[in-house]
Amino acid sequence: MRDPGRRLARGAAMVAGVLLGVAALRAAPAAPDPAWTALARLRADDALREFARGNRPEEERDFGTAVALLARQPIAPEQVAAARTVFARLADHGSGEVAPASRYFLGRIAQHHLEVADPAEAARQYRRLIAEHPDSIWAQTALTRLALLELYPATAAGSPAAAVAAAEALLDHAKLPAARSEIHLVVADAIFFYRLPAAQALPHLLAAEKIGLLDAPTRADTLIQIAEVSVLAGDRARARRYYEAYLADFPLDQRRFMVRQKLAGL
Amino acid sequence: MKISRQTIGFALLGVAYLIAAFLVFRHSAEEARTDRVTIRFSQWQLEGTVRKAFDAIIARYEQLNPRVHVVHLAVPDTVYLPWIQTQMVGGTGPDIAEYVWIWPDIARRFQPLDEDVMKPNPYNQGTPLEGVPWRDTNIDGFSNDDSYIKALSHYYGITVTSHVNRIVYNRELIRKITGSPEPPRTYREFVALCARIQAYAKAHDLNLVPLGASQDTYPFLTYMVMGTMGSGLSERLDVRHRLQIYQDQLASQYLRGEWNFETPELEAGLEVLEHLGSVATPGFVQRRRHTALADFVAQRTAMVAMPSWEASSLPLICSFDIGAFPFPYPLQDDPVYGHLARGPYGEGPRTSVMGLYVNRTTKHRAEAIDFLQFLTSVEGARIFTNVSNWQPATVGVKPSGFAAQFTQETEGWAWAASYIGITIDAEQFLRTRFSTLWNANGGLKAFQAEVKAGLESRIRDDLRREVISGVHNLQREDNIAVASYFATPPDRRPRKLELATLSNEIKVYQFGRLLAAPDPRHP
Repeated sequence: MRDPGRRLARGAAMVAGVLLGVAALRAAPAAPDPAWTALARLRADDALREFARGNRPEEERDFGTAVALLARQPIAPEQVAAARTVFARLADHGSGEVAPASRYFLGRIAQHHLEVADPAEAARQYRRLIAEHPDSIWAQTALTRLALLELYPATAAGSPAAAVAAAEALLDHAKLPAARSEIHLVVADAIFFYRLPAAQALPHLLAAEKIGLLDAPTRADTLIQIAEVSVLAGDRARARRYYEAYLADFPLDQRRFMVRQKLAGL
Repeated sequence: MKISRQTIGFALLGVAYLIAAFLVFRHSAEEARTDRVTIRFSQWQLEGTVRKAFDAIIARYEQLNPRVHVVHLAVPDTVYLPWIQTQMVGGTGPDIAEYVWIWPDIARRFQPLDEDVMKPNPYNQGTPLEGVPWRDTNIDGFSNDDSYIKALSHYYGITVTSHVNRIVYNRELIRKITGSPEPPRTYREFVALCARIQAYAKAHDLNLVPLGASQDTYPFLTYMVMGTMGSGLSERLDVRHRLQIYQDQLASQYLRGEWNFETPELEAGLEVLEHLGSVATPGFVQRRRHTALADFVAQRTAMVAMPSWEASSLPLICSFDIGAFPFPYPLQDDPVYGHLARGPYGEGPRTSVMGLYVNRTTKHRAEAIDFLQFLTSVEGARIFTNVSNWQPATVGVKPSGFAAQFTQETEGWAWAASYIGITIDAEQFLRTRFSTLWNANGGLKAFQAEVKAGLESRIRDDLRREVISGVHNLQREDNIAVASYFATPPDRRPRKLELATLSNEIKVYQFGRLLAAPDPRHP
């Protein structure tokens, strides 16, 4: 007759073993997805093959195939049209991330992938994306791209000031700091491009710098811009602060002599 | 015994086959070795001193790392680009390759080094650069065009040297003519020196002119003079308030009517260039750089305009004592141009060059990075400058005695705007017009008229191409960003898509707007 205690212990050990195995499997790093990895390395043909044969959800397969179609050389208009059809279906009926990502691509195709860009359609898709999936990374990424469409409309019907105001309004939808930072930067640059009073760019530059996500070259530019525009606006104390911040943080930048001269002239 | 031509032919073919087979076998055997890793490194600087410098660095590196063997491939510059492209496409590219940011397919052929450049260089232990991120050990912080590829928003190239242009002069000849071997300190002294050399040559019936130049070196003179003399204008054109102007920004501002070659600062620059042309070797616009070098070595010119990379060979071939000085631009005290001057001037941006890129498909990434770290460490950079006589690009490393004469002056105003190298076709057009400036039947006004007639259309074409290539870049980067996002497990995905930089997308819109505007002054 078997000892029930030993059977219990053996059963417990088996369960523990299975649990440990599952935990180990979960802890093991997932192997990189070969299809997406190939596409990230611009090997669109390999990616298409992988998407076709991989055992993955249908939506992801279709989405990945459509993205790869936008990358496979030579890119023919029919290829872009085929991708667009897939994205349109997935944007309306897809689930999870596939739906907003597809909507984003519908905007992006209209903006940059067509033989003749369709900025109105791109803006329409981006607005819908922002309305339907406001918190998604796709909507937050689309905000800056929509801001560019607002700032540089295809026809010069409106005034530059109105374009700037329309782009500034998008800040209300920017939930992610990265999106806010980018909108501030594109608006500031448009103010300079249209030769509007430079002081109008100051709040945007200050906000972008304060968010703290600028890469090093952009931050060096932004610190100098804040200081320079502050001089124009008559705020010497702020100019000094930002010139000094630049000198402290960018010991190798080529503009140090010029900034020191500016600082000495304050 | 008579050997037929056919037999000789077959014999030669057989020898060639055997040599090829041996080379392939040796290469394969090296690849198959398990006791050491072989990495291959290609570059096109065939100046003797530079090849020796790389060989010396490799020897020291292999001494420190016996497990790694570095093969140095020095390929002539005339065939380098097709060679490296063929190698990369064929999958036989070197692990490390010298490359230039404007050449094609950087994203496809090479790999970003973003994480690597943020870590300290281990070979700098025990030096003042210990613990300093690799990026910050480079004199420009890897902010140069070859290192940080703006269109791709990634660090790719590790740069190892920097260059400036100088007027190299024959100290003994100048002493004989003027009584002093010292170079001119001001623009007026330079003008006077040129006049004395011309007078001396005439009095002694010598085949001697003041300045040697060539079609390879005169562009540097034009960039330097126009960029420096245009400092005051650059300050006015800096509408983005960055204390820096990009060349394509200058191009768009030309279309907007914000400057032209009749603007006082640039007209003054053209006058200075016109004078330089009048004291240079006749026909220099058509002559190659080796003829300018030969004239100087043969003492047919007292001075020669020369980039530092070329000057490194001079101590080996000149039989006389030489010196070098930066061109003495007119400053605020100049009686003619003083009112336009904004000195003191720096010598352009402090930029390192000679970008070395890591092959995207290398099997030996760690070893390739490690070698690049040694190459750009304090020790590696010292070997480099001492053997090559080129400038080091590592912070705190002093140039060799000869190279010290070519150390870039960074304490001065420098806007990084040359007014000549604005965009690709526009630059070519402007360069061809200089023959009008320096032609006895041409001159300043003729140059200005030709430029006015032809520059705008070139700039428009260039910006149109910029827009097209910018859109292609965005298309490609979109796909990479999205693929990279989905290739990452869901719990580790970033909260931002790594798209092409915003500045690149902005440029597409701003140039497009400018080109489409009925009046480009008000886009």
